[in-house]
Amino acid sequence: MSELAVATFGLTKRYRGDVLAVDRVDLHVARGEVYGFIGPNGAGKSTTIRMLLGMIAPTAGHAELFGERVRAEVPGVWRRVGHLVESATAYPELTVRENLEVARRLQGVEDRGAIARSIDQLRLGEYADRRAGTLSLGNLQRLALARALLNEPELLILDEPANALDPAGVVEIRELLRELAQRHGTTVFISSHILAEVDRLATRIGIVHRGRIIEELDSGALERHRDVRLEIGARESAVAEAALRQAGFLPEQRDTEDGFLELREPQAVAEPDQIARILVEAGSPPTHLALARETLEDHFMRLTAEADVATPASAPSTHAGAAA
Amino acid sequence: MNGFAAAFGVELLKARRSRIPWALAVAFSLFPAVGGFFMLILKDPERARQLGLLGAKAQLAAGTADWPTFVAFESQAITIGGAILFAFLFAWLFGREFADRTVRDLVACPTSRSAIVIAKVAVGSVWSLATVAWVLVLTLAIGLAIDALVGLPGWSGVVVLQGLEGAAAAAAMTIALQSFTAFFAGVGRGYIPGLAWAVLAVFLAQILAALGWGAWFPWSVPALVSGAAGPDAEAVSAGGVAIVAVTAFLGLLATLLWWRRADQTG
Repeated sequence: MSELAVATFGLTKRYRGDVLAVDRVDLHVARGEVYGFIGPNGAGKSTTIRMLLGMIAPTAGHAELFGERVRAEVPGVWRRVGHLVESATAYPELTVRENLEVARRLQGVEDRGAIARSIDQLRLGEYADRRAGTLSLGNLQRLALARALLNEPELLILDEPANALDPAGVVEIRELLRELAQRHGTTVFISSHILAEVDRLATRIGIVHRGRIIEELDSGALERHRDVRLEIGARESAVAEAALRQAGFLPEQRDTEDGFLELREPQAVAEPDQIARILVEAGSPPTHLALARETLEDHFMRLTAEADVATPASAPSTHAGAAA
Repeated sequence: MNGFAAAFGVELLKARRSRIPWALAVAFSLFPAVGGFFMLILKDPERARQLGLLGAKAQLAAGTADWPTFVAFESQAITIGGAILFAFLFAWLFGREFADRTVRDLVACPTSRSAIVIAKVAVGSVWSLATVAWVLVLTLAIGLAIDALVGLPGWSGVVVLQGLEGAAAAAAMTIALQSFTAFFAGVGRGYIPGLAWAVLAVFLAQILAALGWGAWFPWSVPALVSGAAGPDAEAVSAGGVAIVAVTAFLGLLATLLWWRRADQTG
């Protein structure tokens, strides 16, 4: 039995017109992991997800779910998978309950009680007998998530699950996914633009840019990779800078209106009180002293900017996620 | 086939809940009503003019008010109207999954894509055949009602039955050929390409029938079988019927292969 829930081997998709949407992607997602798959628009996230689900055939390479090679028709493996691809959809003329009944039958779920459980889980009780065509976008998204969870999947593949949800809904879905992963061991493969959510939820993160994985790291490594700095504000910025240099630090002037100085030395980050003492003794006490930790969004922006510099967009093939 | 029963139940539920299949049944029901209305006018055109049912200068070229004319009219209406109305149903069954973007929930699921395609064809065929059966019964009922009210001469069990049988056979062929509407609704990812194909097929059927090749062009054959192409039209051989069957099967095969192999980006 494969220990990996998701694995891809040189997964590549080239569309007509020499558009390279996904370029030799190797992913390995262990069972029970919450894998955050992030990247800018057109990076190839949705195309990769569609290949994982057998909706699109790869041009080269292949994908495996639970060790089974993904093909257009491998009905067996889909019993273990729930998915939500991009925007939520439903049959507008059917009620919420009927839409879930359609999913129950097609997914081969014998237990009719699964529908009621899914409705409760996604708090759709109030709308259960309402036609899907009359639902708000947020509730439509909840319906799509309820459908994805209906067969109590071992693997959830979710493309932008927080789309159209209000802030409370975003938190609710995050907690639901966390509970599924922690209590039931569900593997979650999640792509989202809301990087703060991915940051809070994912145990491992893959960053995709122009069809390629440019970084893959677990949450511990992300913590170590994060840029941490001490921000310092002072009335006499020049005096403060001189005092810090004299003490052996290398302050950088931030290029923003606040005019803060920044220190990245581990000693400064570990002992901000010592920095405060140096500034007070130099006659320029700090008006602002704070540790700033790079967010996943900052990290992502920095990485993609670096990747753009390293490989400019004038590559031989055009990179674009067709459905991303 | 993996999950056919489940897929059939799902397609039937979707059809029952949608307006499109019911609109098809209602549109078909208008044929015997209109046919009966024409019979009443033809029975007594002067009275129809006095009642304002017929314009002062209007002439009806439908023939005489009798059972053979009434049954022939219904047969033509079912064959020609069916070619478009059945196409609406099949274009909806297949094209709606792309228009509503629900196709993504059909492709990564334990029920095989082939089962879903066959289930759609089965529901479309059963619904269409049931509609035709309903229209034939309605035709008979309206004919009998007119006969009882004002008299409709020419009743012959054999003639009427033959007429209705011809209409049923032509409708069955037209329904079978909707596999191509299904194919184009898939390839074109929406209703319009399927409907466009149906209109083109009707157009080609007219042209080729007029040129005398109708008995060998699958989409002309139903009209020839039902008598809709007129009394002077060429006869259809068993070979012509076989061509319809083979063409319908090829359409189904092409639809199955496309659903199995095509990238689903909708």
